[in-house]
Amino acid sequence: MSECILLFSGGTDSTAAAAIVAERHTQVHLITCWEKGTRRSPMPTENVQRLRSKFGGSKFTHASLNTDALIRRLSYTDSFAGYLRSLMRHGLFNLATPGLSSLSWHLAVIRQAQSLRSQGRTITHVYDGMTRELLHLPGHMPSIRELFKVLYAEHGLEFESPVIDFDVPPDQRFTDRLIVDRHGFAARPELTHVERSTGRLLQELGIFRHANVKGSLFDHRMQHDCYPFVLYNMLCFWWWSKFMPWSRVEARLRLFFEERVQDGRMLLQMRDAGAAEDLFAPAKPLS
Amino acid sequence: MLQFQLELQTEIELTISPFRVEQLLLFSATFPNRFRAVADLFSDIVIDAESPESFGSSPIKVHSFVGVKPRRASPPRRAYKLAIDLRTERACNGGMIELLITPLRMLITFALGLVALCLPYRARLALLQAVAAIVHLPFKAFGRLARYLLTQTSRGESRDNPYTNRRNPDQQGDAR
Repeated sequence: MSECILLFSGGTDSTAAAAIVAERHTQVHLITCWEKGTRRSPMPTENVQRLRSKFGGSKFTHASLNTDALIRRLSYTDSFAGYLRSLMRHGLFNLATPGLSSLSWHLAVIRQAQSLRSQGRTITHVYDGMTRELLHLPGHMPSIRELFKVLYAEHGLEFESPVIDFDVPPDQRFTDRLIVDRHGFAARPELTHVERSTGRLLQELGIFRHANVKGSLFDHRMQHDCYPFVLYNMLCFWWWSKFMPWSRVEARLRLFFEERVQDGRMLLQMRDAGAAEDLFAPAKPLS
Repeated sequence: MLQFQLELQTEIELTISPFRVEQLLLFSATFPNRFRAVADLFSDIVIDAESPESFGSSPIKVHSFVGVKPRRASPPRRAYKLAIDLRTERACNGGMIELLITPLRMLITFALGLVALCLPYRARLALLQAVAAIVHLPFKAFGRLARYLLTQTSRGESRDNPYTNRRNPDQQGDAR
C-alpha cells in the first residue's frame, strides 16, 4: 500500500475524502494551503483530530503550505511585459483568482510530493475533496481539472477526487437555519434527506454528529475564508454571462489556464534545477 | 387540483429569451439543487434543439415548465419545487427591477474589474477583501440576529439548541 497527499481545506468534503482514502493508503499526508488573504483564518485542525480518533493517530500527517508567492507569480507572470501581453490576450479573465489559487495549490503539492519522495516515501496519488458543486469556479471545471491531471501525471502522480460523485447538499436560505432541527423536524425535508452526501458519510462513520452542518457555527469554524470568489462571481454572473454563452466563457478560461499551467510547469522545472526557491515555501507541520 | 391549475397557468405564461436560457443554464449548473427544476427543463430543451445557440433571436415559448417529467416527490416537496419554479419564472420574465439593476451591476463589476487589473498584488488583495466584507455584511448581521433570537427563545427549554454559540455543537447531545 502506498501513501498519498490530500488537499485538505478542513471542510466536510475534504474530511470525507480523507476518510475514504484512509482505507486505500497506509498514510495520508493532509496539506492545507494558505495565502496572504487567508492568513487570519484558523488552520483546520479540529477535523484532523476527529479523523485520527477514528483511524488512528499515525494514519494522518497534517502540514500547511504557503502559496502566496506562487499566486502572485501566476497572477502577474514573470514580467510587466508578460502581464501586459496576458491583459491584451485574456482581459478580465486574468481575474480568475479562485482558479489561480487552485493552480498554486497543485504546484505546491507536486513539489511537496517530490520532497516526500526524496525522503523515501512512496507517494502515488494526490486527492482533493471536489464534488460537482460550484462548477463555475475554474478549479472545479472538468476541462481545467484535466489540465491539472496531466500536470500530475507528468510527475508520476495520479490525481482525482474520491467524493466527485457524492450528492451536493441543498442550498439553504437565511430562514432555514432558524427553524431547522430545533424541534426535531425540518421545514424543508430535502435539507435532511440527501441520499449520499459527504456529511452523511461522516455521520455514518461517527466522525460528525449531524449529516448536514451547513450554515452552523461548527461549519464556520472548520474552513477558511473564500474572499477570492467575490469579484470572480460578479464577473461570471454579472458580466461574462451577459455577453457570451457559458460554453464560451469556459473555453476562454481553459485557454487562460492552459497558459498558466504551462507557466507552472516551467516553474517546477526551474525548482528541480535549483532555482525559484522563493516561490515554493517549505511545508510546516501543523499537528 | 390547485397544484394542477397552477402548473397549467405556468405552462401558458412562461416565455424565455435565448439570453435567459444561457443564464439559467449557468445557474442550474452552478446551484444544481436550487435550480433542479430548471435543470430538468433544460435537459429536455437541449435534447430538442441540441444547443441553446440554435434557438436564434426569437423568444422561446416554453411549454410544460413544470411537469415535463413525472414527479415522484412527496406533496410538500412538490409544492416547494413549484414555488421555485414560479420564482424562477419571475426571474425569467425579468421585472422592471431586474432591468434597472442589470446595467448597474454590470457597471460596478466592470469598474471593479478594471481597477483590480491595474493594481499590484497586495492592493488587489485588499480590494477583494473589502468587496468580500461588504458583500458578506448582511449575512453576518443576520447571523448575529439569528443567534440572538435563538439564544433568547431557547431559554427554559430542556434540550440544548445545536446552533447557538454557547456550546460546541460537537460536544452536546443529539437534538434530533
